[in-house]
Amino acid sequence: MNLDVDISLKQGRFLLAAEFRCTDSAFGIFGPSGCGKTTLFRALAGLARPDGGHIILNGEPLFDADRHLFVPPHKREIGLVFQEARLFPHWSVEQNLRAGECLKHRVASRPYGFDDIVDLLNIQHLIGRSVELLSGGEKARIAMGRTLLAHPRLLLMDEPVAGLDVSLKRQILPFLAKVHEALKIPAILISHNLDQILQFTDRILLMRNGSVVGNNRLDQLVQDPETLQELKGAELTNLLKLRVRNHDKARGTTTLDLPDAPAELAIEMEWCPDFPPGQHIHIGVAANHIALATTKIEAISIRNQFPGRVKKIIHTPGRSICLLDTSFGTLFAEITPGTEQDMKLKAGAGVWILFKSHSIHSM
Amino acid sequence: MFNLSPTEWSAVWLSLKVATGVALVTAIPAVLLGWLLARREFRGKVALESIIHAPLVVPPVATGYLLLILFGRTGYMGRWLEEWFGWRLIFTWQGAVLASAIVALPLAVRSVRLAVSLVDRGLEEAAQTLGYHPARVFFKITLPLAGPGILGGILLAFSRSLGEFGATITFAGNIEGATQTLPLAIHAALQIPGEETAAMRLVVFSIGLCFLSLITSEWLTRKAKRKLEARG
Repeated sequence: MNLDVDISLKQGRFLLAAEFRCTDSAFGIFGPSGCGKTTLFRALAGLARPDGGHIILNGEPLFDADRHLFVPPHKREIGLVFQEARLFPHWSVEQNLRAGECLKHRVASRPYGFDDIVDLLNIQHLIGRSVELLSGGEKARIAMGRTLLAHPRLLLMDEPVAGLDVSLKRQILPFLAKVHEALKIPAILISHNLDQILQFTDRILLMRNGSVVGNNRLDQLVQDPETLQELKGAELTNLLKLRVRNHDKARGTTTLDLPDAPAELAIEMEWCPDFPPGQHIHIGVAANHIALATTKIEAISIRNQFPGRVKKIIHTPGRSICLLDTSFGTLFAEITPGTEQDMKLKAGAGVWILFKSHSIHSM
Repeated sequence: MFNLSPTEWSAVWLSLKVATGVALVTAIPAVLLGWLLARREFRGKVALESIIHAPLVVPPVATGYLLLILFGRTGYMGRWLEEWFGWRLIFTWQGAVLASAIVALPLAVRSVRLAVSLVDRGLEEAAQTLGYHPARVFFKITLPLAGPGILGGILLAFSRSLGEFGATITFAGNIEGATQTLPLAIHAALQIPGEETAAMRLVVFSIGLCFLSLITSEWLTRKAKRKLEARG
C-alpha cells in the first residue's frame, strides 16, 4: 500500500487537517475519542468530501481539490467495516454476505471464494439465519465477511470490536490479524486501545484534535518525548518476533530462541503448545512488567533475566521510559523517577532486565 | 335506503376509477420527490417544497381554476396536448384524475419523505462502500426499507382523491357518468329540493368507502412492516 493523504475537512467547529504518508501494508490509527479518526476514514472511503488537499492510493488520485477530482465511494474499492455492523435488516445473513459480491469484475479477480471467507470467519452455522437474531460478535463477523467478499484493495476497520464484551473481543481480534495475513489485503485499523492495534501491527498513526501528531513504529514513537506524551494512558508493549524452540509440559514452559544470541540465552513463556517448534511467533512484553536490577538474581522466580545497557531515559509528565540495548534488540521499560534516582540509572549503565514468564503474551 | 340508483352506482365506480388513476399517477413522482426532499440538499429546495405543498393550503377551487387556465382548450398545455396527441383533459375523467392527483400529491410526498428519512443512512453508506452505485442503493436498500411507508403514502393519496371536490368540479365539471364522482353527486343531490334522502345515502356510502380505504391502507402498511421485520 502506498497511501498519500493531505486533506482538510471542516465539520461545524471541528477541523480535520491530516497529512501523512504510509507505505506499510498495515497500520493502526490511535487517538482519543473525537480526534477525527472516523472522519479521516470517511474521507478515505469517499463518504465525506474534504474541503481541500488530496488523497492518493497506490499512485491513483481518489481526491484532488485542485483538479476538482472526487472518486465516489462505490468506485474506490475501499472496504469500510463500520463501528456498528450496519447489516441490511431486510436480508438474510447469506444475502448480506452476497451483497459484497455485487460487482462481478471484482469477484472475478478475487483470489479467494465465498466459502474461504465463511471458513476464515467461522460463520457456516449462521448462513441461513435472519440478521436480527445474531449476537454482537456474530454481526461483527458478518459485516467483516461482507466487506472482504467485495475484494477491497484497502480495508478500513473502525473500532471493529467496540461495544463487544471482553470475551467477544478475544474472539474477533485474532480474526482481524488472520484476515490481514491470509488475504494480503492492506488494512488500517482504528482503535482507542493500543493493545488492540498491536495485535495487528506496530505501525501507528497518532492523532489528536484533527491532526496527525505521530507516524512511526511504536518503538520509535516511545523514544520521542512528544509522541510518547501523546501515548499517555496507553499500555506500552514491546513486540518481539521469535522462533519457538520447544515445549516442556512438565516445567509448564515454552522456550523461544533469541535471534543472534547464544543458545543459553532464551525466553521462557507459559506453556503454549499451539505453535509448533520452529515457527516464528509474535510476543508482547508490557513495558510496565519489566523490572531492572543491578545484578543477576538467582534466588527468584523470575525466569527471564538478560544483561543490557541503558540507552537513554525519556521523561514526560507522569511517565518515564527507559530504553535498553540488549543482544536481541531494543526494549523499553516503564520506570518511576524514584527507581531512576535510587539505582542511579543513566545512559550507558549496565543493568539486568527481568520479566516473568507470565508477563509474556502471544500477539 | 342502500339501494343506489344506476346513476349513483356510476358515481361510485367513477370515484374508484379516478382514485386508482390518482394512485398510479402519483406513485412515481411521489417517490422521486419524497426521496429528493429527504436525501438531497440543493439550491431551491425550499421553493420546490413550497410548490409541492401548495395544494394543501391553496383553496382546491383555485387549483382547479389554474388547471382550467393551463389545460383548457385555449390554455397553453391544453392546446399543445390537443394538437399533438388529440387529448382533451377538461370535462373528462382523466381531467378529474389530474385535478385530484395535484391535490393528493403533497400527502403522498410527505409520507414518502418521512419513510425515506427513517431509513438508516448508514445502511446506504455501507452499500456504497461495497460498490453499489447510487441507483442500486436506492432500489435495493432505500426503496425496500421505506416500502411500507411509501405504500401507505400512495394509499393516502387514493383516499384523499375519494373526497376531492373543489378542484375536480372546477376543472372536470360535474357531468353525470363522465366526471361526477361521489362528492360531486352529493353536491348535485343537494341542489335539488326533496333529494335530501338521496344525498344522505350518498354521504353514508362515501364515508364508508373512505374508511374502508383508510383501514386497508393501515392494514397493508402493517402487513408490509411485519413482513419486513420477519425477514430482517
